[in-house]
Amino acid sequence: MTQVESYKEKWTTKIAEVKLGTDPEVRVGRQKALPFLNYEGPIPNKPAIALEIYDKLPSGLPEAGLPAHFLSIDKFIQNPETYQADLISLKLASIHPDESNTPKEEIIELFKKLEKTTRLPFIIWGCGHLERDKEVLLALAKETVGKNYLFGTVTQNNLEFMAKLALEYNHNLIIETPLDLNIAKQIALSLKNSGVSLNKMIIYPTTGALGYGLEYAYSITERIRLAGLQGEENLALPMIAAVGEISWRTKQSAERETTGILWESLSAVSYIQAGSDIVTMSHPEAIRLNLETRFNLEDEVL
Amino acid sequence: MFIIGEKINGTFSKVTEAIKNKDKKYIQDLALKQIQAGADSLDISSGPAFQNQADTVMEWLVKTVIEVTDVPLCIDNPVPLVIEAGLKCCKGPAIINSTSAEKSKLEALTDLALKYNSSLIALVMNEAGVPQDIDSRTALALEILSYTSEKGLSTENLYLDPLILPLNVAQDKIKDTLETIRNFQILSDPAPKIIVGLSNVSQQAKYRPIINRTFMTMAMEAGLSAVILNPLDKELMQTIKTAKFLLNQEIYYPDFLEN
Repeated sequence: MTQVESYKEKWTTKIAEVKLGTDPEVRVGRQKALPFLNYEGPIPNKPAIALEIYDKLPSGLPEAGLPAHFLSIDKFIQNPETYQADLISLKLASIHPDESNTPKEEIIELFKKLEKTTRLPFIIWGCGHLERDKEVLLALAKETVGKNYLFGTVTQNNLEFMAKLALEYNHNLIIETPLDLNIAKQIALSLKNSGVSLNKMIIYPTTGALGYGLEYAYSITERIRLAGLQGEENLALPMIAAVGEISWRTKQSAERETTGILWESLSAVSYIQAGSDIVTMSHPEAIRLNLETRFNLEDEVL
Repeated sequence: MFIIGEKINGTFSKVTEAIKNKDKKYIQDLALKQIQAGADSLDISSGPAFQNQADTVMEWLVKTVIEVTDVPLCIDNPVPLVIEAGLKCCKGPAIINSTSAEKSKLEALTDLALKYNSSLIALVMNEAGVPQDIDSRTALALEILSYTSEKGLSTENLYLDPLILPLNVAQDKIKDTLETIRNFQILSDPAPKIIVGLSNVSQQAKYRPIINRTFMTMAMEAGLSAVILNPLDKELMQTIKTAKFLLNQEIYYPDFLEN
């Protein structure tokens, strides 16, 4: 039978490699091909999966639109070894003035408790309130100097203190963009001009759940990855998708747990296919499904 | 857009003075300023004042510039011997500025390009002068292309110059140059590189910078890939940056004049 030669794309630029944590160190990026197309170029690092945890759960879970499997720090540290993931993604939702307005000292204490129970590297998200994020994220960054964590998110409004966070405490940064390539490039450039190295940056294009904006976020993620591979140095960065929480705030997931698991799992796999290098997830079963998929797709010789 | 900075040229009196006084610092500062402003390469020309010692002056200029930078140099002189004197001193591959379609010159300079692994700028004119119409220019371009590729010079190393005529004498011919740039794209696959000496379009004019940058955007749209210009003209460099976004050659970002 005749061998048909696959058409191979020639990419000019490699995606930057970002290293998270110290021991273990999780690496993302450094690929020179689209996801899973390892015959077009090297893909040295696997997509990483992060387990979503809240600092404190929003009071009244069902009212908050969240099912029982969601974790607070206190819940996680009861059985830390039962959870499988490459990273922990911690959302500091309670520090918002409209939530518990938790003082920074309490957050630091909570975090220290958490850190003792796991060696996985941390992704730490602020609450979106400028003053509280500045206060708490900087304090936490200082407290964890040397740990090489990933802090988020950088927007056009908080460039100054987030750049300081990276430069003074040597952590990595998540660049947030409202599904906009141009803003992503601008923030990356601004950070670069402040002295932050491109291999300390990850882009968060904003995530839509399946049925609730996934296609648009998918296309933006893909466009960013293509632009990077085609030579846009400031967009040749690893990307993150936050799939867990939003997948469970859907009508479909609220109806039945199995639906929710598939909803979350499919969303995650779609983002990985689009180019996300890290996906944050919540349900252990959805995480297990994705870890399985990840390994199967990688063994595929194309 | 491959940008060649034009400022190290003896036609500028300060450069001639620096050459006369062996003022290395002036030349080196001028080199670095142009690179900082965005030049990918530097044109090196002794200018009209040093006819007798053009080769010595070229050597001195090249040696002075390579002390502070590794960017490819564009060796600019009408005489092949002087060009060779410059090429000998270059550290890496250089660009020869320039040949025409005139046979003996094209032969000599293609040989030099192959010998020193340099690129070659070729003007689409010959001993009869500058052709007046698009087809004749395209025909000369084809002549140059087939000669150089036969001799083994890759199209990657050839820059065709369709020749800009100045606005104040040939305003009816400017659109022809744009059309010629468009035509040159299809002469080979991959397409040859196309270059112009931008400042020529505004020669002797009162408002040179705006004429230069306006023509530049038109030429970019037509398919220009390289240009010899003054990179210290900030507005010109900003115009080029803006045009790249408009032509979808680079991803736009809002604060592009600040960063």
